[in-house]
Formats: sequence, C-alpha cells, structure tokens
Amino acid sequence: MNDFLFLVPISIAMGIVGLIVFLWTLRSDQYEDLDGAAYRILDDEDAPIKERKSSK
Amino acid sequence: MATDHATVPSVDEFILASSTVGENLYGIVLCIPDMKCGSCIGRIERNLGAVEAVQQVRANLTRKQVSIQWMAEYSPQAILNSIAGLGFAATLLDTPKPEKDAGIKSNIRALAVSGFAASNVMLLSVAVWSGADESTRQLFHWVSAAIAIPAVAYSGQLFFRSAWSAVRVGRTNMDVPVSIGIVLAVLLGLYDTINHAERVYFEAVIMLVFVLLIGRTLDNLMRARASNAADGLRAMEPSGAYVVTESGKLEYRATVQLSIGDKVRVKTGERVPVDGIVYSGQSYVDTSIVDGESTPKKCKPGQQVYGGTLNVSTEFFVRVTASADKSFLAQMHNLVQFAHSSKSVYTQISDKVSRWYAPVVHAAALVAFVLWMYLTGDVHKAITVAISVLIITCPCALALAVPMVHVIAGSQLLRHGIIMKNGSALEKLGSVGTVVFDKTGTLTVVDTQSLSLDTTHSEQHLKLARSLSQSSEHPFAKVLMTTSGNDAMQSDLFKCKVRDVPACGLEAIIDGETIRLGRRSWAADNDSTEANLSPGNESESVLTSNGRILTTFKFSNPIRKGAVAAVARLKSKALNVIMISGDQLGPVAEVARQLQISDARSGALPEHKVSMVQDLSNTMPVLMVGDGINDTGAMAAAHVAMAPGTAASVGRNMADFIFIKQDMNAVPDAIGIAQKAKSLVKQNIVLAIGYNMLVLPLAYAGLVTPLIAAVAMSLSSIIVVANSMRLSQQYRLWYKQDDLVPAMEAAEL
Repeated sequence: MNDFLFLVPISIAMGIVGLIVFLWTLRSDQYEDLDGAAYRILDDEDAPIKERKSSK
Repeated sequence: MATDHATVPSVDEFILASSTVGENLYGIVLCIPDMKCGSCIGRIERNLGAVEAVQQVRANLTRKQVSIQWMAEYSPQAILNSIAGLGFAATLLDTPKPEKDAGIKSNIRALAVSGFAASNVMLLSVAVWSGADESTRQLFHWVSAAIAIPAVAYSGQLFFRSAWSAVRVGRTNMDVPVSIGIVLAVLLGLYDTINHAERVYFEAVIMLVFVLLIGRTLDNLMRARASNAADGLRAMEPSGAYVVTESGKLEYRATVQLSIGDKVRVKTGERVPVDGIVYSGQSYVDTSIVDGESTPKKCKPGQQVYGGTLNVSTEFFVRVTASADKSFLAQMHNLVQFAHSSKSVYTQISDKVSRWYAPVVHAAALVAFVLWMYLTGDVHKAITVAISVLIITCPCALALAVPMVHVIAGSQLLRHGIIMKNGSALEKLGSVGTVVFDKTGTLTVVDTQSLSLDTTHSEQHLKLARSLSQSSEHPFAKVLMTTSGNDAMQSDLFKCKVRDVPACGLEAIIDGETIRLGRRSWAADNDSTEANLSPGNESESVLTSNGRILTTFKFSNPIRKGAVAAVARLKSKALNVIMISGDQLGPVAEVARQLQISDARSGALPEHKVSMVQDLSNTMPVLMVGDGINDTGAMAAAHVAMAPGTAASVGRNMADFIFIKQDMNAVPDAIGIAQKAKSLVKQNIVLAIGYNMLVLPLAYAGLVTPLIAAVAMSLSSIIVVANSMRLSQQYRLWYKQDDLVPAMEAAEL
C-alpha cells in the first residue's frame, strides 16, 4: 500500500510530462509541415535563416 | 495553368494582402503550387532570406505555402522579383483562416488530454480488476476520479456545447444522448466511489470521450483537407484591382470592395478581378479557369468577361457587373466547397435522423430503467443498465457511415480532376450500366489544328462564316473564330442577328440573303451529294447563301486524350458504351472504329438523343457524357450526367460531375470511385445497424456493462471510419495498375 503512495504519483507525473510535451509540440506548430521536415534534415545549414541573417 | 505564365502577384496586391504582425513588420502567406521537394524549400528560403526586406521566411511543403515577414521600410518588389527569378508561380491566399486551424488544434488538444486520462484510468482499473485489496481499491478509485472528472470536463466540452446549443433551441442532436450518458456515468462513478462500491466506471466514460473525439478529429481533418482544394480555386481571383475614379485617376482597391458599375483596368498578364463587361479596349483572354479552353478568346467592348480569367494580350477596361461574392468564380468556389464537404446536406440528414433517433434512444433508456426498477427494485442496477442502453444505441457509427465515404470520395474525385456537384449523384453514378457519349467536343476535341483552310475559302466566305460564328458556343464555331485569326478582318465582321438552330447550324440574314452555316442537309437546298461526300473521318460545315453552297469547311476529328483507354476501361467494367452524335455517318463511324465502340448512332437530333437515352434508361441507369447545348436534353433525361470543363455553360450546369482535366479517363475514374463508394456505404450501414441490433438486446438484459458498451460503440465507429478509408487505399492501388494504359494508348497512336 505504501509503495503505491509514491509509485502512482510518479507514473501519473510521467504521463503528465508526456502530455505537456505533446501539447507544446502542437502549440509550436511542429505538425504543420510533416513532409518538409523530412527534407530539412538533409539541409546542411542548421542555423535558422533569421540568425544567419543577423550575423551577416 | 499558372505555371505557364510564372505569374507572381503585383506589388500592390502583395501589400494589400499583407497583415501587420509587429512594429514595421508585415506578414504574408503565399501559395506556391510547384513546390515539390526539399531542394525547392531550400532554394526558396535561401533566396528570399537573402532579400533585404525579408525578416523571416518559412516554407511549408505540406501546404505548399511560404510565410514571409517583411519590413515596412523596404519595397516588397525585391521579394517578388526573387520568387519570379526562381521560376515559381505564386498566388496570394484569400485570407488565412486561423479560426479553422484553431478548431482542429483545440480538437487535438482535447483528444490528447482525454487519451492521457483514458490510459491512466484504464491502468488503474486493470489493477483493481485483477484483485486489489479494499484500501488499494479505494485509493485507486479516488485517483481515477481525480483524473477522469477534470479530463471529461475539459475534453467533453465539444459534445456538451453542441448538445446545449441544440437543447436551448428546443432541438436535439446526436450529442444530446452522448452528453447525458457521459454526465450520468460520471455522477454514478462519483456516487460509487463515495460509497466504496466494488466497481466504478470512470474508465468507460473517459474511453467513450476519447474514442468519440478520435472520430470527430478525423472528420475535421478530412474536411480541412478537402476544402484546401476549393481554396486553390479562389486563389485565382486577384485580391485587388485598379479602379478608374471619376476624376480619371487610378486607385487600387481590394476585390471585395469593388461594386457594380465600377470601371476597372485589367493590364496584360493580370486576371480579371470580377465579372464584368468590357467597355474599352480589345484583347484576348485565357478563360481556361472557367471553361478549360486553352485557346485564348477574343474579347471586345460589350462582351462579358468572367472573374479569374487571364488577360494575355493588351490592356482593357471592364465595367463591373457582379460583386466579388457573386462572381462566376465565387459561385464555382461555392459549388466545389458544397460538393466537396457536402456538409450542409449531411448535417441535415443526420440531424433529421437524430430528430427521431434521439427521442427513441432516450425513451429506450427510460424504459430499460423503469423495467429494471420494477423487476429488481435495484436503483443502482437500473441506472447502470439505462446508461448502457443510452451509450450503446448512440447512432454515431450510423451517422458516420454515409458522409465519411462521400467526403473521401469527393476528395478522391477532385484529385482526379473531377468536381462533384451533389452527393446523391455519387450513388447514381455507382449504379450506372450504360455510358452514352456525345461525339463532337466530348470524345473528340476540336482545336485550331482541326480546321484546314485552303485557297477555296475566300476572304469573303471566311468573313461570312465568322460573322455567323462570333456568338456561338459550338466547337466548330469557336475554331472558325480563332483559326488564322486576323484582327483587322475580325473587327469588321458583319453586324447581324444570328439565330442558333440546335443540331442544324447558324442562320442570319446579311445584305438580304439568308446565310446558313452548318449541316449540309439543312443549309443547302435539294442537295443530293451528301451520301457520296465526306466519307472520311472529317466532319463538315457548309456555308450557303439562299441555299446555294458557297464553300465547305472540313474539320478533322482528333480523338480526345485518353478516350481510347477510357472506352476500353469502361468496357472492361462490363458497361455498355454507346456514342450518339448529330454528325454524319462517315466521321461517326471513323471515330467509333478508332475507339472500338460497336454501338454508334449518327445523325441524331437533340430530341432523338433524348428519346434514345430514355429508351436506354428503361433497362439500365444511364450516364450521359456530353458538352453542348444539343446534349442538355439527353443529360437531363439520363440518370446522371457528366461534362468536360470545356463544355458550354448550359452543359456544365446540367451535369452532376464536371471533369476539369482534358483527359477522358476521368469518366472511368469517376465511375470506379463511385462504385467503390457505393459498396462501402452499404457495408457501413450494415455494420452500424447490425452492431446496434446485436448489442441492444444484450444491454437490455443487463449483460453489458457501461465499459463494454463504450468500447463496443467506439469500436463500431472506428470500424466504419476505417472501412471508409479503404476507398482511398484500394482505389490508389487499382489506379496504379492502370498506369499501363497511357503506354497502350501511345503505342496505338
């Protein structure tokens, strides 16, 4: 019984972390362009355009 | 279409479409249909990113869009030059629809929350079921309640809101029994938890919410995807135009602000903003968006031009006759959207169903409750049974059965370049047994190459023929107008009143002489040479003056692209293929031979076509594929009608399906999709009703717990959805096998 008192909260907390991460990816538009993401990984220049620009 | 001209919007349009996103910062979303691969993204982002005005640029390959943030102190000209320099055609999006995306996003959020809650509650429940001791069980029940209740409150909002808005106006929909079931089950669960009951049904409730949300989300995603195609059409409409003000100045105004009577300038390479009548200037317009015709059409003062058509020649001025939301293009857009989602129709049907279904469900649950109360006197058991009945009879699967298939079929059809005008036609198309084709303009295409002019055609004869043809929509007339188009000559055509005699030809009185152009037997008096003339595959049009033959125009009949393969595919589906034409025997037989159509009827007048189609439809449902005015009767008489995008507007209005691509394979494609859709709808209805029939007695007998009811109900919905999805899967495989067909056709030619 005592084991449950911390095992259950841990398991639920882990689930909540997963949920929050998913909601965050959703909020930051990571599912907007699934086709493009597959190609972008082949792009050598990793820095976002914006930074490249300001460093210029 | 757009790629031929590699068009980009003008600077004014670009600025107008941009919205302020920050201090001195504008945002805009451009649609780039040709963006197809990773290197395209790279090129676009690198090149646009190098432009000084651009603050940020992000390409979206899935949507084929680029969102750009640019700084107000620079002119956006450099951005446009950069896009054009890359060779991409770009269109402005009508208006980005954040509310639509937000709807789907909040839907997915609710789905995620309920999914998380469902899995956790289910884990706890399984632990309880496998034999937890008293105190652990109590703890787990409370934890379950703590997870499930907020999750249901959050994720169930979608159903509660919909149910509440229906109840408030005294109506009921599918969400009413669902919401009552959810709320009752939660309350019962809470009551059980407080009273230390052995069984608590939180997992059933949360699972129900979860799976119902899956169905909703799928439905929403499908609709969103489908309406993207419709948006593409809208994007053809320019977002603004230069209006000539009363003081004679030019002023840039948004298309939506254009009102009837405004004078609008259409420059070379621009699209006509809204429907209007040309009042100054002459030009050629590419009307391919309206009628699929690739040959630009001449337009001169007094002539109607449609919004979305492209000015390919010189600048002209238009007086607006319809506001942006009533223009031809907007109507077409509405048509597509309506046909596509067919939402309004299905919502009505499902609402109609639920109008009597929901009371029945409530009554059934009430009866179950009373019955169990009376028989056992156990309130708790009675409520459990009532909830099971409520959940189990919920017609969710039935509600999904038809629209799901039609939505998928609609998007499949559009992918093949076919616009479906109404959903019920899909079912009719699926049961078609005979396909009737018109010849000229349908199986054969008539283009500028099909008319060969020689020295026997004098300038005077051509002028007469063109004078008659100028207002006609017949393919031959269109060819006469465009072949060896000499502007100087066309401008001084005879002003005459032309009478269009269907299936015969055109007639006018010029300089006191009756000039006729058309069928030899009608135009020429006492002409006995018809039988031994034109035995080949050429169709002819005779120009006569008072019955005396002036000259004969011969039109070759090139077969429409894909027609050979299309006919072969239709025959392989065991469909009767019949060609009915108003043309003479020679050319009809020749076309029939090339297409291997055994039943070809020539010389049919419009009324003959109607009676033939009526006769045929007595035995089997008939699909009529036609294009012209002389086919409309037959198209109306047939069960279902289809027209190429090049058809006369009457033909398009009469048709249930319009295929935009020139390829005739659209006909067997459409029939194939419709047949699949029809059998899937039947399967779905059987699945949905069969499930209800099977489980309802069990629920009444008290053998089904709310958990099983929830799982079974959700499962039936998922099965129906999955079964509908087979349409796209199967059809794609089937279509791949047909890739051989174009090769076959090429070999024949």
